[in-house]
Amino acid sequence: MPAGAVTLSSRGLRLRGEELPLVSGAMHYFRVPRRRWRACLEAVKALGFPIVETYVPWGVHELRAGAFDWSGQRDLGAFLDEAAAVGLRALVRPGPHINAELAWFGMPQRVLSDPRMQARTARGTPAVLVAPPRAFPVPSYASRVFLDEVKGWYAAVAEIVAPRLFPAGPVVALQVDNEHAWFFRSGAFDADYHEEALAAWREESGGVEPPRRFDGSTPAALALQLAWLGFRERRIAAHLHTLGALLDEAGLRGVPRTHNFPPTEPGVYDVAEAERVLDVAGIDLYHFRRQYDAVRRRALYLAGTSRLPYAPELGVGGFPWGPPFTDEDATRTLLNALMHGVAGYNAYMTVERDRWYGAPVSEEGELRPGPVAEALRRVNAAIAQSPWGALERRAPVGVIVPRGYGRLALASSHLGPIGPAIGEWLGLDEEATAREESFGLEGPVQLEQQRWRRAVLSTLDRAHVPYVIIDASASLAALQQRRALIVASYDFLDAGLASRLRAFVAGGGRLLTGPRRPRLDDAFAAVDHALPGDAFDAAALADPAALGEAIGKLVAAAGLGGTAAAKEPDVDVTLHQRSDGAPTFLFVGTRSDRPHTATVVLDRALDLEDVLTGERFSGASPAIPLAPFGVRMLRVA
Amino acid sequence: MISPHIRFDHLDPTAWRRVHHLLAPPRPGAPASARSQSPMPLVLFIEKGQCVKALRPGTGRLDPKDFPWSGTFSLGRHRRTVGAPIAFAVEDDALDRIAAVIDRRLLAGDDLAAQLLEASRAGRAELGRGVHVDPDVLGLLPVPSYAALQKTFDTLVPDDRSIALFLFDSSRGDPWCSLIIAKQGGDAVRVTTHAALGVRAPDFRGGRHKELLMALESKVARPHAALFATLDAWREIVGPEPGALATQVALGRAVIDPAPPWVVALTGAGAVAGVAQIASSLFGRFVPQAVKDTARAMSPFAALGFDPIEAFMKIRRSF
Repeated sequence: MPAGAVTLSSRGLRLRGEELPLVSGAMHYFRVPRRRWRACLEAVKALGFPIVETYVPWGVHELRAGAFDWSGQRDLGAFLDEAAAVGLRALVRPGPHINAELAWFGMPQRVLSDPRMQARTARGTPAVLVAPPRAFPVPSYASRVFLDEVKGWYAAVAEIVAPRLFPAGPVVALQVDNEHAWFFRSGAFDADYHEEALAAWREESGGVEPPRRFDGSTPAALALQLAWLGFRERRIAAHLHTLGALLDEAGLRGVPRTHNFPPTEPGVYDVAEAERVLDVAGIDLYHFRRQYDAVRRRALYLAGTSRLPYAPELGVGGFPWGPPFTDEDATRTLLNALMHGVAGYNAYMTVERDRWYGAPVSEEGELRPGPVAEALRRVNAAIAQSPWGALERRAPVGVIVPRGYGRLALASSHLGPIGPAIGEWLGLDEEATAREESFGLEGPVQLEQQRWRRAVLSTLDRAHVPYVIIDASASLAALQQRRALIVASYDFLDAGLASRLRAFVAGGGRLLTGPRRPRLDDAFAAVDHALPGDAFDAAALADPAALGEAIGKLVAAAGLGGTAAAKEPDVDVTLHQRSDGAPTFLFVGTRSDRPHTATVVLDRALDLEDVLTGERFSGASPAIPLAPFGVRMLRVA
Repeated sequence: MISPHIRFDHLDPTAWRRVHHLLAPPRPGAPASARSQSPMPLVLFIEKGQCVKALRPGTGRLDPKDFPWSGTFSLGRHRRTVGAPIAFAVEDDALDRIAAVIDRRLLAGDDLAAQLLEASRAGRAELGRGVHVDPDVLGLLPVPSYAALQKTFDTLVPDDRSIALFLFDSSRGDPWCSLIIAKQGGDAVRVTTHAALGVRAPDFRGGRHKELLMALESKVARPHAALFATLDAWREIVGPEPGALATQVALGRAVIDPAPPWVVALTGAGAVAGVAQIASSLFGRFVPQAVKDTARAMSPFAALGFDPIEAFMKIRRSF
């Protein structure tokens, strides 16, 4: 947590007593003619965004090594001053990697062409990214030479940004890098085998050679694969930590630091681990409205894992070589994310720019006709007029899938070099791509864990039990925010997690595990984890009624009860309350692809107003019409 | 062929979504069952001669036991059984080998066209060995050299000129969708739409397309070739009938203006092929070979060594 003038709450930023939601609109000053900055910034503010977010592209500003251009349309200082003059705060994202659909992902070509800085594949070749408009060898964050270059870049950025950090200027947050995930080369054995990355691995592993392809032939081989993937996960946090230290060194400190992971399922990237080295890590959300379940899972994961559940890029429109998103996709994704616990978002993009479509504000600073601008304005107004910082969606149950099971799925993926970020675009999840073998375990854990997740989450949904998804690496303090935990347990389990679960139960929490009793640690050494609490077996997992009974027992023992629920099994209801229990927002959403009317059962009569349409509902069991995969945000009058 | 500074602008989300669907517009009259059939491929992973993994993107895992493997022939059977439009089988480490070739051959700065050519070459090298496809659409599509592709692009669009497509739905006041590409220094430098032109153009017929052309010249680049068509005409043009473009122009449902020689050749070749097909094999054989050869020689695709439109039609027919 920063010790500076800007601090974090669980719902936003605190600026010397002023509460500010972490809600921003994205604008790229370097892509908008300077004469139009003011009009665009005023439009961002008119949409109700308190913060403007911008990338700072290294490759655009650097003329040659050590020489930077901050003039004209590249005048970042003038842009930030203009934002302040309009009354906006700023979130600045100086990379080094920004993507932003720029050639070379916004980095200087001279840096990328230096072999000393290039990430390596398992075969030792440079890891080249297939990307429009031009391919490029991706950099290695393990390379000291690369980090020295980044240091120079951050120093240049600091000259402009440091004097404009809050309270002297509008900058209230900084993002460290962008979608730090091996540049989409995230297959288990794809990259990074840079010699300095390997040196770090050898130091951690005691000189063992890293695996370069999947081998599940023996427990020892399997353990090595999982250790490698654990190492890679920690390297992401280590890189973010190093970049943070470089920001410190440059004098860019005192405001919260954020990071965005690519759109992926809970547990692919480790938000809890990232938040050990920076303040807030989120997941980008680019989704079609039909992907209701995916958005919901990711929001529930952020709500259960992050100290400030945040969508650092919530897609409003899209890039031209991606799938064609509509205004409705953006609106539904936003409402769905807020419904399930996301407390901050960055509307990416808010101001149109080259290589983008669908932003609500044109490059001329005018609102584009269409529903998305009005939807954003109304949602932002509802947030601003509410006690946003004091709201909570009470979710006493946490669901955990140990990371080792996901590592096994990734290691054994048939897609080989194609990792989860690309798999996401191809519509392929872990279960679809992981091998079917058991590798000497009681079953194919890499597949079973996905079925477990589906069975447990759908049981909780049917029972209308409010829950969150918690990363298995989350701290004990994070676990203790819940009254009950449901944890997947198969043949092996990370000893650290087992220890935290024991402490959780010792502190009064309720624990339900299953379907197998783990007898190995994640190095496949025999161990008695002595997990306390209740357990269910494989038969219960396969029988919805039996699983429902086991979870029902847990819910009853923990004394949990919902305050709002729908009569329909495929309708979700979430109530966002102040700490005194006063309801402020009621969200109603459906997982169904058909329109229908939901009957919401409340513990008292409420007067409700749809934030987007103004439609009113009242009573203790209002009937709420819903579009297919629809979400409604209702303000409690 | 693609500038690192290529600009995409004035893309309205609705119109851009329509552009995405341009080459596969909904087929009028297609039965609902055909439209609702999942368009996702079937993918099988084969190890040591056995299917060890079966999946469909977006749908998920299938039971590999349901897909016994006995070579490409069995792939076609499995594809038909699950109703997939296309099926792939990947043997052992084929994906790793393909990735290794791409990593080795791709150069920093290769544009997207070069990247796709390299990836296609790497994939085709595995065809019939580590990768099997049914129907064999990859086999229908030769992979030209980058130089041949560049030469074709230069033939289609000279530097400092643009090409454009405008489609109109009669019920709307503006084009239904449009796509404009401008070229400089051998590269596509801008992709945009009618929204960049700043003129309202409810129709193109009766010479009203001239206003769009003038705006195109002043706001983007001098047009080298532009096609204006109704949505229905477009569906015919990209449909299975050869010569549909000439027919639609003749019917006044499409206008080509300006029409460089290659467009004339293309339209003529299509018409010749159309006549040949419509006249059935009995009469089609009387279309002089010399006429066919001339049309082929004038084709803008001569440098490629194959006709991509013909290949596209064949691929469409495969589904």
